[in-house]
Amino acid sequence: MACDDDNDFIRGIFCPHVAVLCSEKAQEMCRKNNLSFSDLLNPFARLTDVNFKDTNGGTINVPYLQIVFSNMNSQPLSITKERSRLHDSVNITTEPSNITVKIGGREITIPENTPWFTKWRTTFLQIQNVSDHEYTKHFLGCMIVISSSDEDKVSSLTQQVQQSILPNQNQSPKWFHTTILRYYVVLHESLNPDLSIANKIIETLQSTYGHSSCHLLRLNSCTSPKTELTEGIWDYLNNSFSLTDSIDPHDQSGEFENSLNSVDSSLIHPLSPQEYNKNLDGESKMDIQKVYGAYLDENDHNNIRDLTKHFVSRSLIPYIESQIQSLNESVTNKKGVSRSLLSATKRWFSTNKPTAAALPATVIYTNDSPELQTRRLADLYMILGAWSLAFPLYQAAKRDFSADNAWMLYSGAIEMAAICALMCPSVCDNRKAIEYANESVLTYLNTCRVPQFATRATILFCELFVSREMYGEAAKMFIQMTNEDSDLRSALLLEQAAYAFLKSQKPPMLRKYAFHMVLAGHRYSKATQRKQSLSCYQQAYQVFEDTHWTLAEDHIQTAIGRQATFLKHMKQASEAYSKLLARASSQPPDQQSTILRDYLNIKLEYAAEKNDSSIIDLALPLIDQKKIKILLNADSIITKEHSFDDDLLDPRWYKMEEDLITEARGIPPLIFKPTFAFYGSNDAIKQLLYVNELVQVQMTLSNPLNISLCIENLSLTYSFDKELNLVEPQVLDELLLAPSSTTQVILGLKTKSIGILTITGVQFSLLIPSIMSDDIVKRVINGWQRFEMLSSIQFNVQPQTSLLKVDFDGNQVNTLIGEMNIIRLTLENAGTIPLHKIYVSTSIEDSFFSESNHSCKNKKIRSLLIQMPPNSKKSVEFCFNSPDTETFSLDLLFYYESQIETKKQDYRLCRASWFMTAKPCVRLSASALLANQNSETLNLKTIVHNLYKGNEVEQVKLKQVFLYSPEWTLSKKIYPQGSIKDLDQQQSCHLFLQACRTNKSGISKINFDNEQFPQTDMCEKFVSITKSLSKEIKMPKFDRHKVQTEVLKCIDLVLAILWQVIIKDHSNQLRIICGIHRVSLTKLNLSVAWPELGCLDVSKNISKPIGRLKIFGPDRNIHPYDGTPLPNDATGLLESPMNRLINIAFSHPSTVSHSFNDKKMCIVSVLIILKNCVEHKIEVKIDTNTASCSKPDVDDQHFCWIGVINPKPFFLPVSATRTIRLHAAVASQGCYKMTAKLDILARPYPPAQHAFLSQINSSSSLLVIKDPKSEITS
Amino acid sequence: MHLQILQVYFSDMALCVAVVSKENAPKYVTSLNPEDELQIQYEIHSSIDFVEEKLKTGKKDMRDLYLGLLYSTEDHKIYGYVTNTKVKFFVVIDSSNLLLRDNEIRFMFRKLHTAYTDLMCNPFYIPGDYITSENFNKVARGILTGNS
Repeated sequence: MACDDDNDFIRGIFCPHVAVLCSEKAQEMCRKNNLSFSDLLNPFARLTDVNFKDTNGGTINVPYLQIVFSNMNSQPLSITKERSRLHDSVNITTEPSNITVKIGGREITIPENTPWFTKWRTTFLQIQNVSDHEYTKHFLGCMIVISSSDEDKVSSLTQQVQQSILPNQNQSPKWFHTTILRYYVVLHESLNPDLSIANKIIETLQSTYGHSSCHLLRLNSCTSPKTELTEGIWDYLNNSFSLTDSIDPHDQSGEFENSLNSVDSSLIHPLSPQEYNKNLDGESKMDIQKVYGAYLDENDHNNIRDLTKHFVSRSLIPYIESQIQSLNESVTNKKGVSRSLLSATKRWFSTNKPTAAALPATVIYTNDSPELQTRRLADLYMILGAWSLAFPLYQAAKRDFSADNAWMLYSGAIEMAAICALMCPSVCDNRKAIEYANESVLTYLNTCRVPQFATRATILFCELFVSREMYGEAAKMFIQMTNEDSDLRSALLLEQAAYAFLKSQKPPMLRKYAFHMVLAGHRYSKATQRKQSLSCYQQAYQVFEDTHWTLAEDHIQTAIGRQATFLKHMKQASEAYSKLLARASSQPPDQQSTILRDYLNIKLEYAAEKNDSSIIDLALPLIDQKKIKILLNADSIITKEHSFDDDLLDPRWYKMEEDLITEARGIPPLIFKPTFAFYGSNDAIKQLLYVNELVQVQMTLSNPLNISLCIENLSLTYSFDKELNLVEPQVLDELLLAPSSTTQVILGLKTKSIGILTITGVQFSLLIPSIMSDDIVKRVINGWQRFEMLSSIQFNVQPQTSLLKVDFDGNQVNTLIGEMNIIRLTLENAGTIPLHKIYVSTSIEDSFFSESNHSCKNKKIRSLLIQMPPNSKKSVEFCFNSPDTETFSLDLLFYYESQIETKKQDYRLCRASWFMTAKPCVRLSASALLANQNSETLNLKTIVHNLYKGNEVEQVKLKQVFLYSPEWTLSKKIYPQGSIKDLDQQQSCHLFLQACRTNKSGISKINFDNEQFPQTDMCEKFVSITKSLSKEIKMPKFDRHKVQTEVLKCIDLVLAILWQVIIKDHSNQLRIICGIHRVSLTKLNLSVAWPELGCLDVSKNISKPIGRLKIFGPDRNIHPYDGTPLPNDATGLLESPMNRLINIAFSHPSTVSHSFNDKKMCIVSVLIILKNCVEHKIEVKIDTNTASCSKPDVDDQHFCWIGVINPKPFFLPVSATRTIRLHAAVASQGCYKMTAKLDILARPYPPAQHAFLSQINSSSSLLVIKDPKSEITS
Repeated sequence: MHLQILQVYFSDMALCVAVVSKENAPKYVTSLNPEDELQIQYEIHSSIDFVEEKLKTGKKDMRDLYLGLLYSTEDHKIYGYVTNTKVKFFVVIDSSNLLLRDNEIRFMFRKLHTAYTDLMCNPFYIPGDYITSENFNKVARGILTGNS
């Protein structure tokens, strides 16, 4: 992440380096403080406002100068060690705090900073080798430190020093220049008051080396060590590993003695025991929090500060100035003098670009070649922070190196040029700086193949880019440096790239951020940095969450789960896996089964961690919390398969319940609150819970995976305030959830004692999918899932009361229309208290109980007047006739009360509901006609039709015919006589029955065959209840012509036919079905059918084409009384009983031969017989002049009534017959309809409210007139 | 030699074709090699950033729905196209595939757009659903395999 003080960061890297050489005694003095001398100096080596003189004598101000002191003989680390250092550097103990950024409507939580990256970067830069191609890290000088107790050795020591710091190009330490700056420091213990020795030494040194390069430093003023750190001066040591070695007592590389043969000691094999010991010591030390600077007080700090100030101002700056001077001279002197003609021409004519195939350098530079001197000078400016002075020098050096194909030097120079340009934007524009930066990284990487320098360049540039808000460039550069070399580096850089994308302002690249986070996570995991990896994936998931990119989401969640598992973050891991499993996904089944296995194993591990291995909260299978339903008394629903059907909550049940209460109590309830059959988990539950009654919970389990889930021992979990074993849960042994399926499961439990019960959830054993398909050992995990809403409800369990249990038997769901169904119900009082007042409400009125049929006010309610003591049983039969609808539901609602006196009238309910179908099989249609002459006989025209279409039924057998009427009884006459044949499919049979008037009301019947039908009683009952069911025929409005009811009730009879079919089941079993069809006849001459004609032929209605559009004319029927239009099919409705007051018959010869040649007119006498059909006196009027016949279908031009054509109205008493003679005159031969010009009107007498109405003539009487002569002629 | 090039050309036109809805949810993804799909999906998802950037900054010619090369990684090049209703089409081709030029890519998108329009005209397709249309699939697979 960006450092705010990026300039400090760059300055901290490019600064003067000074070597430190300590005598053993001096070293010891420092070690008292747990420090080396260089460590001691470094915090105080920051100077402000240092001035130095330029070549022109101008003064240049360096506002901020840091000098880095390091041990002269510190050895470069071995590669393995380097790697482990870098690896360790990423492990930081303190987590950065998180911040939330809002981008594109999404809130992303990211760490505020990335200390692991900063630390890695610092470590990386610290341990980097000093290279020959640049001089920024070369030591400018050496500080020689001796102790005041080294008095006698001073001369020998200084001599040794002179030898040891001879510049040697090929070995470390590397010196900036052959003339090395030397500076002598004498350490003196402050507590030793004897300064004479120290003074003596310093005087000796000053006399030899001059005042400016010698200093006396008094240290360790504290008498006793400080135990706690008060200042933060030494904190930097805790943050870095680099200095642990230098304090290591075994590695006294800073001492003179060792320094002489340091080359030897560095040659120890890294795997030798000594090295191993070192490591061990180093590790053991790291564990202890070291106290640094324990003997140093404020005074000492000031002394050190004075030392560094003295060193810089008196020794270092003058040295640098002289260096600048001499380098500048050599650069300017040799400028323009080309080393060779060849390179000069090349410089002009070729555009050298570094390529992957590095050309060998044409020139090998000597140490003081002008190109290197240029570079040196530039580096000097660089370490002093004089960017603008350094830049042109780097550019010049770059050109030279490029011309000579010295790519390493070239990329170093261009890298520095880019840094200068970025640090000091005035020297060149940004674009060029970026170009330089890219060039340098690419050259390092591809041409020179030195990834560590490329990495360094990347780190430096990106830092600069980020601080200058050039995020795009930073990201690009970060990504460029990610390769296969180092996973850790790639991961860190990818992560930084991701942050750069996120920070990018125009616009923020949220998705690129996520993508690179995923990549970084992947690389981290490869570098075994699990914590970082997890954090990366989690950050990436924030972007992918809920975007439907399921493939990516799955990948991230799997990675999170895996990393969390490795880190033992079991909760997190299980959450990640739960997310992965709890939704449908496109992962292949074997992948899912792996995920599931991992998830379950994690769950087991997690539980083991918490020492709670009994039951584990699992995410699978999914339970739809909203669909949990609870039934408090399982016996209150008889039809178990529908116990949780939503149909049971239909409002019709409330109506039924209310009716039952009204019936049972005699008065409607004041406040009626319906009882729910069952409750959803959100409902407020009002019903009570009793001991020993089964409570059932229905839940929906779904399996979103593409593999099946095996569940065993599924049962409800509960809490009970009494002993837990007083509750008996039901256990479902095995359940297999198919891939992506949903199953409904009903589980129950019973309580054995009163108390407070809460149903908390469901427990089960989930089979862990085995890796091998033939794994014999079954591993299960005991899972648990909570019912969210239900678990908050407390049930107060009441003592047992009366309980009606109803069992049923013998109900066929698929029936035929008109079928007589019998359900045998067994009632049992399973409670402890007697019950009584059983009322049953049913949806089908056409039904009765075989037992005590006590009539109720409400047609739909039957009462069973039985009392049931506890444990008594009673069986009743419920009979009903299937209605003429294709599907219907048969609902039974039982109402009963406990026979215990309570203030509150408590009742309990019991429900049954069947969804049934009825197929058409038989149609019965009948009409009643009065026999012509005899008022005492009634002809019943009956048609039975076999409607069945299908394979199961072959024949319909007609068994019996019933007539139920108060006045009529069936005579034994039946046409056609003899046995009635069975009806095949689509056959119909016309029967002609005759009924006689009788006085005693009752049921008369005729058997078609000799068999006696066993259930005649039942049939008779069905017949007898028919009348009450018959639908009130809806009368058209006769407001102006009110009809007296007694006139209407001319006949009132029920005709019923008993039939039998034999059906073959799917299992080829024969089933005998008996059915009864009944029609209620209340009008003469009107054909009544059941099932009604239209109602079954739905298909015909649909296929009927739409009739032509009628706009004009009275093409439709208009109601004769009020003029309202009638539907086309409703002509029948016009017929009222008032049109059927009298029966009309014509009597005349059917054929008359007449010769019109002989006589122009043929006169035929016609007798009209009128009979009163109603039990009322009737006034009759005959009108022959009517033109009411709308359709002149017959030739009536040559036909008229003659004689007394309009007789006076006359009265016709009850059951009387009267004959009237009329004469018809016909003028030509033909066929004539006698009824044509005749209108017979009638009205009941007294005529108070009635007008004359024309009577319907059921027969059209035809008269044929023949002329035999004309026949011959024609 | 010519034949060989042609074969390469026709056997491997694009690696992946994707349709992304207005809300940036994937509506259709089909790829030649299922094992690459995760990587490609990540890349397409990242490319949405570029599409949004391009839409935000405004194109020169609003009538041109073709967005050009959006994103180029080591292995893939991702081209984009956005309809007037902000439905995005992506075509991913192999980075080493130098035979496909801008014009060919444009042609692919045009075909894809036509197929998408046809799909939208289907009254049985509910806009916003994942695309399962056989016809669309045929066109998309055709772009992948090159024999359309």
